[in-house]
Amino acid sequence: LQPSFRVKLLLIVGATALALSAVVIGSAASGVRQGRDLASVERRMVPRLLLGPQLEAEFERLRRGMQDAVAAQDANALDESRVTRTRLFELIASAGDALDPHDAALLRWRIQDYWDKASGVSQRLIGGESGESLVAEMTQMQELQRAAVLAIRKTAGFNREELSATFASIHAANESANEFRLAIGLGGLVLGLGLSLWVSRSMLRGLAELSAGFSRFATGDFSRQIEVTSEDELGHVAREANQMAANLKRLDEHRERSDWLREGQAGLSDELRGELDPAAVATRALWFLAYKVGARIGAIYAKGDDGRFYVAAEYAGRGKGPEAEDTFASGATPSFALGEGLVGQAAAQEEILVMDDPPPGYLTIRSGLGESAPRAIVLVPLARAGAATSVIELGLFRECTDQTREFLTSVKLMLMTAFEAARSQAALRGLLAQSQELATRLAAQEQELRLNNQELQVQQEELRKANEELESQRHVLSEKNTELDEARRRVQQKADELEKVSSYKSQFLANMSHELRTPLNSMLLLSHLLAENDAGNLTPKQVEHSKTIHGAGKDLLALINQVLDLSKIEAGKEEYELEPVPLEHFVLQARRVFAPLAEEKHLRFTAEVAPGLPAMIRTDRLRMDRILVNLLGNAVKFTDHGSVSLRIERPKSDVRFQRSDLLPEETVAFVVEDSGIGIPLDAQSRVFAPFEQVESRSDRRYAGTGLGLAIARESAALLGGEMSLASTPGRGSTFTCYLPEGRVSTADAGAGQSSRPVRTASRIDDDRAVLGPEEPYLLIVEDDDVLAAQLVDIIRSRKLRAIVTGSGREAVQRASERRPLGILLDVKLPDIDGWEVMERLRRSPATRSIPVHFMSGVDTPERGIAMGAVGYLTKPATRAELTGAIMTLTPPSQGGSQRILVVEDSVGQGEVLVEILRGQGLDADHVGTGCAALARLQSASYGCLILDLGLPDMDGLGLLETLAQRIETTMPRVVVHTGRALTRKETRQLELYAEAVILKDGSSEARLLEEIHSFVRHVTETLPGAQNSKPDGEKVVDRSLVGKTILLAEDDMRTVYAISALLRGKGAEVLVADTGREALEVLNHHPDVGGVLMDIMMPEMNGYEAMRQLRQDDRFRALPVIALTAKAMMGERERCLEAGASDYLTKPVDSERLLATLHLWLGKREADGIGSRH
Amino acid sequence: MSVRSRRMHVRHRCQAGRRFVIVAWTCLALALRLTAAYADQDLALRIVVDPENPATELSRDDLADVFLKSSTRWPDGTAVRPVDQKSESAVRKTFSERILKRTIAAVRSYWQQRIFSGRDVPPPELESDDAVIRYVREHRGAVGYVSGAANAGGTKVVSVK
Repeated sequence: LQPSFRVKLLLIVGATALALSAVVIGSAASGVRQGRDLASVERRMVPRLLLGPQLEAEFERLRRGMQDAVAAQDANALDESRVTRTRLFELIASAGDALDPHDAALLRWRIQDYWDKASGVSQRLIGGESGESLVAEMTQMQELQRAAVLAIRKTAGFNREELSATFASIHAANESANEFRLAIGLGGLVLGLGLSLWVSRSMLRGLAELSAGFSRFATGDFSRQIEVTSEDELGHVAREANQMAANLKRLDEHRERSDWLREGQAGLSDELRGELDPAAVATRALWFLAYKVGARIGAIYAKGDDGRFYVAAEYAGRGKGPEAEDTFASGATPSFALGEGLVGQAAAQEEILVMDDPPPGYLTIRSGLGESAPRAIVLVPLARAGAATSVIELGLFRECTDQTREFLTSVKLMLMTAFEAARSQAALRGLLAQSQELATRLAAQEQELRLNNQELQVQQEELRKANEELESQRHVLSEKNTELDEARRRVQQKADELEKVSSYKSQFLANMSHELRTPLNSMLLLSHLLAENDAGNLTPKQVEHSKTIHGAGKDLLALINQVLDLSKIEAGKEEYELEPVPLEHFVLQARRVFAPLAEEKHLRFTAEVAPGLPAMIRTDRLRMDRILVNLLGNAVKFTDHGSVSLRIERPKSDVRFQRSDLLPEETVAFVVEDSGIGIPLDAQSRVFAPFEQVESRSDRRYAGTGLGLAIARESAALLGGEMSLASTPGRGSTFTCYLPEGRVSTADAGAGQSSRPVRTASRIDDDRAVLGPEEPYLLIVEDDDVLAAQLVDIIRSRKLRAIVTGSGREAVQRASERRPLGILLDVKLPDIDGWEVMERLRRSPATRSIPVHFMSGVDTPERGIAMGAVGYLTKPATRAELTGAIMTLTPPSQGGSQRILVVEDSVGQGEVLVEILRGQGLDADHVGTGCAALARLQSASYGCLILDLGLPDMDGLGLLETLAQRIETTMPRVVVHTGRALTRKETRQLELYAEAVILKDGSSEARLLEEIHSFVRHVTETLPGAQNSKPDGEKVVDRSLVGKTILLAEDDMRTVYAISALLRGKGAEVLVADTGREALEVLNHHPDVGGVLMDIMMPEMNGYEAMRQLRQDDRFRALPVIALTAKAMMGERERCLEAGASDYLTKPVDSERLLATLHLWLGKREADGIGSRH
Repeated sequence: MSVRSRRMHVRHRCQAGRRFVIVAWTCLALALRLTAAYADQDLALRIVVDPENPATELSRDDLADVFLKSSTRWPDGTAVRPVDQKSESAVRKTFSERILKRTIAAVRSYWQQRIFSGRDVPPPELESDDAVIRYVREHRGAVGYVSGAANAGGTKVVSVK
C-alpha cells in the first residue's frame, strides 16, 4: 500500500484532533463535577461558619442580660432576656439547610432548658434568696449552660470532618480527571510520533533516490534513469526528471554534431585565407576536405575555358604525367564535358552524387603496403549562377553518412567563393604589371618638375631676408614701450606713496586735534573755574592770570580748529553738499553776526543783494557761510573807521576767471569791501597762503592765525568758484568770491521759498484759553496748520497743554512772558526765521535754558545742534518722530534719577567734570571705558550720560547702540562731549540717542553746564528761579544741611561715628538709634526730623521692617528715608524701595554720594513743602 | 509658646502635689478610724471549722481566699465548704470588712458575675450563728464565722493571724 503524502498528513492531523477533543471533553466533565462539589461547600459550610459566632454572641447576651437584671435587682429586666431567647430561635430557624433539622431541634431544646432554669434562679436571686437550695439550683443552671454552649459549638460550629470529606472528594475527582487527560495526551503523542516517523521515512527514501538521479544528470550522465518505485508525489517527480534527462541527451547530441560542422567550416575558412593562386587553393581545399570527412582519395575538377572539366588537384591520386604541369591550359589527361561521366553528370545535376559500394576494380586506394577499393564515392559539384564551375570527387572507406553530406553541402558556397576569388586575383596580377610600366614614365616627368621648383625656392629665400629686417625693427620699438611702461609705473608708485603720506598726515592731524582738544578742554574748564574765583581765595592778579590762561587756550583751540579745517580741505576729505540756498540768507546771516560787531567799532555795515540775481543758488550753505564769516571777520578786524559792506551781484564784465568753467552770466560775486588798512601790492599774492599775515614783521596788532583766507580760498575752490583780491594800502580792500549759480530746479525752489502768507494769530484750537496760571505748557511755533494740529493732539494725549503760534516774534514774546516747558520751533516762519528766534531766545537770560526742538524741511541738523537745540526734526516727520521730539521736551514721568555718569577716557578731564557737577550739587560718577559704563548703567540708575566719543575700548556710537539694546528702562539723557569733529553721517546717527552734541571748544563747558541744568530741571521739576541760577558762589550742599535734623539708625558704632561727624560737619543735627524699634521711638519724639539714614542689618527690628512701620504713620509718609546696606546685590535696591526707602546707598558709604543724595532728597522735600504752601 | 507650656506644666505639678497631700491626709484619718473600730469589734467575730480540721490558726488572706472560693481545698485535701451568714446580719458586715476587705455589695456583685458566667456558686447563707455552727459541725471541711456571743460548741474555733 503506498498512499500519497496528502493522505498521510491528513491522518496525522485527524489523530491529533481526536486526542485533543477527548482531553477537552474529559476536562469539561470533571470541571462540572468539581463545580457541583464547591457549590455544596458554599451552600452548607459557609453559612454555618457565619452562624456559629452569631449564636454564641446572642447566647452571651442572653446570659449577661440576666446577670445585669440580677445586679440591678429588677425583675422586669428579665423580660428582655426572653426577647434575646426568641432571637436565638429565629437565628436557628433562619439557618435552613446549613443545620441538620435534628441538631437544630436539640439546640433549641437546650437553650430553652437553660433559659427556664436561669430565669428561675434570677428571680429568686432578685427576691433575695440565698439558701442552700438556691445554691443547688445555681449549680444545675450552670450545668445546663455548659450543655447549651456545647450544643451551639457542636451544631453550628466549624465541622472539620465534613469539610475535609468534601475537599477529599473534590481532590479525588480532580486527580481522576488529570489521569484521564494524561492518558489521552500520551496516547495522542505516541500515535502522532509514529505516523510522523512513517511519513518522513518514506519521504526521505524517495528524496535520496531523486537527489542521486539529479546529481547524475548534472554531471551529464544520462545513461541511467531514476528508478520509479512509488506512485506518490515523489514518483511523479522522478518520471518528470527522466523525461527531462531524455530531452537533455537529445539536445547534447545535436550540439555535438553542429559543433563538428562548425569546426569544419572554420578550419576550411582558415585554410583558404590569404592570397593564393587557384591551384594552391584547390589543393588545400581538397586536402582539408579529405581529412575532415575521412576520404582516402580525392580530386578536384575545374571548368576550363572550353567548358570541360580538368583535374585541378588530387589527393592520394593516380599521379600526373610530366605533361600535366598546367591542367587548365593543356586540357590533357582525363577531362569531362558537362554530363560526361559521373563528374559531368554531377556538374550537370548540381547535386551531390553518392555511389555506394563501387564494383571491385573500379578504383583502388593504394598505400605502400596494400590497396583496397573504397566503400563509397562522393561527387560534389560547385555551382554559381546556375552553372557548375568545379566538381570534387572523394573516395571513402565507409558509407557516406548524413553528417558528411550535410558538411559538404554547407561548405559548397565557401569553396565556390574561394575558387572565384583566386581566379580574379590571377587576373588582377596581369593588370598590375601594366600599371607599373606607366608609373616609370611618370617618374621621368616628375624629375623635370623638381628642377623648376628649386628655382622658385631661391626667390622665396630672398623675400624671407627682407622680412627679418622688419622684425628686428619692431623689436626695438617694443623695448622702448616697455621702458615707457616702467617709467609710468614708477610715477604711479610715487603718486600712491604721496597719497599715503597725505592720508597719514590727515590721520595724524585728526588724531592730534582730538588729543590736543581733550587736555586743552580740561585746561579751559579749570582756568575758567579759577577765573570765576568761587572760593574767593585768589588775588585779583591770580584771577587775571587765570583769565589769560583761558584766553590763550581759546586762541590755541581756534588755531587747532582752523588747521584741521585746512588740512581736511587740502586732503580732499571735506564733505560738501549742494542744496538750494536763498541769497537773502547770506545777507541776513551777515547782518546778524557782523552788524553788532561793526556797531561796536563804530563802523557802517551794509549787506545787500543786487537786483537781477536769482533768488536761490545751489551751493553748500555752511561752507559759504564760513567763507563770508572769514572775509567779513577780516574786514571788520582790519578796519578802524569807515564802512564794511557785503554785496551780492553779477561779476563785472571785465573779470577774467582763472577757472574756465565759470561763466559770467551764471556766476554770483560775493563782494566784501572795507575801508581798512589795505594790503600792499607785494603782499597781495601771499595773503591766501597759510600762516601769512601782511604785517608779520613786528607788532601783531591784529591777532589771528592767518589761516582764514587760506580756508576761504580752498572752500571756494571746493564749491567750484574762486577768490580774487583788489586792494590799495591805506584805502581798503575788496575781496570777491565768485561762485557758480548751479541749477536750481523749480521743485527745489518750491521747497525752499516761503510763499505762505504771514499769520500771527493761529487758527489752531490750542490750549491758551484753558491754560491755568501755574500750568506747564509746550510752545509750538509752526505756521503749517496740519502739522501744528497733529502736535497739539500728541501733546494733549500726554496730559500737557500746548499753545500754537505761527509767528516767530510772538513766540519770543510769549516765551519771555511765561516760560514754557519747551519749544517746538519751525525754521521757516513768515516773519523772522527759526534761527533768529533761537538766537533771540538764547540772548535773553530768562529764556536761555528753555529746551528748543527744531523742525525743518531743510536738513541741516548740525546747525540746530550747534545753536544748542535739544533736537532737530526733518519734515515730513512720522508721528513717532513727532512724539519723540515732544518726549525730549517734556520731563521724564517718574523714577528719573538725578545721577550723572561721565564717560571720559582722560582721567583728568573726567575728574574735572565730576567736580564741576558736584559743585552744582549734582551726583556724578566717572568711568573711563565703554565696558565700565555699560556695567555701571546696568547696575545703577542714571538720569544723564555725558559721553566722550573716543573711548579706548569701544566707539562711543557703538556704546550708545549697545546701551539702547540692553537697557530695559528708559535711556538716560545723553550728552555727547567730544573733541572730535563729526561728519554729517555721525551727527545724524548720534541724534538718534543723544540730546545734545557739544564739541570740546572754548564755549563747551558753558554749553555742557546748560545741558546739565536743563536735565536737572527736567528731573526735579522744581525750584522756580533755579533754572537760571548760575553757581554764583552759593555752596548748595552746605546750606541744605544747616538746621536740618537727621536720624541715623545704625548699630555699628564706627559707622555711626563717621557719618555723624560728616553730617555735623555740614551743620546738621544728628540723632542716633541702635535698632529699628528705637528709630521709630526717636521719630515719635522728634517729628521734626528732616531725613532718615536707615541701616538694613540691625538687631531686634531690621531696616525693612522699620521702614514699613514708619511708612504706615501718616506723619512720615513723605519723610526721606535713605537705606544703607552692605549688600551690594542685584535686587537689593528693589527690596529697599519696596520696603519704603526713598533711596539706597551701599556701604562703605562714599561721603560725597551721601551728601549729594541727602541734598537731593532734603531739597526735594523742601521744594514740595514750598509747592504745597502755594 | 514654649514658655507658656512650661508654665502650664509647672502648675500641673503643683496641683498634683496638692492632691497628693489631700489623699495622704484622708488615708491617715481613715487608718486611725479603722484601727479604732478593729479594736472595738475584735472580740465580736469568731471563725469556726469542723472539729476534725487540724488547723488552729488561719491567716486573713487564706480565709478571704476560702470564702471567695479562690482556694477550694484544705492542706489535707479535704474540700473546703465555706458557709456565709445573711447579708443583713451585723457579723456578716464585720466579716466582710475585716476579713474580705470589701463591702457586702461588692461581694454580692462578685458572686453574681461568677454565677452567670457559670464558674462558681457562692457559699450558702444561713439564718443565724446557730445555723452556722450546726452546719459546720455536720459537714466535713466546713468553715464559718459567728459573733462573739455565740456558743460554738461542737466546732473548733481558730484564730486569725
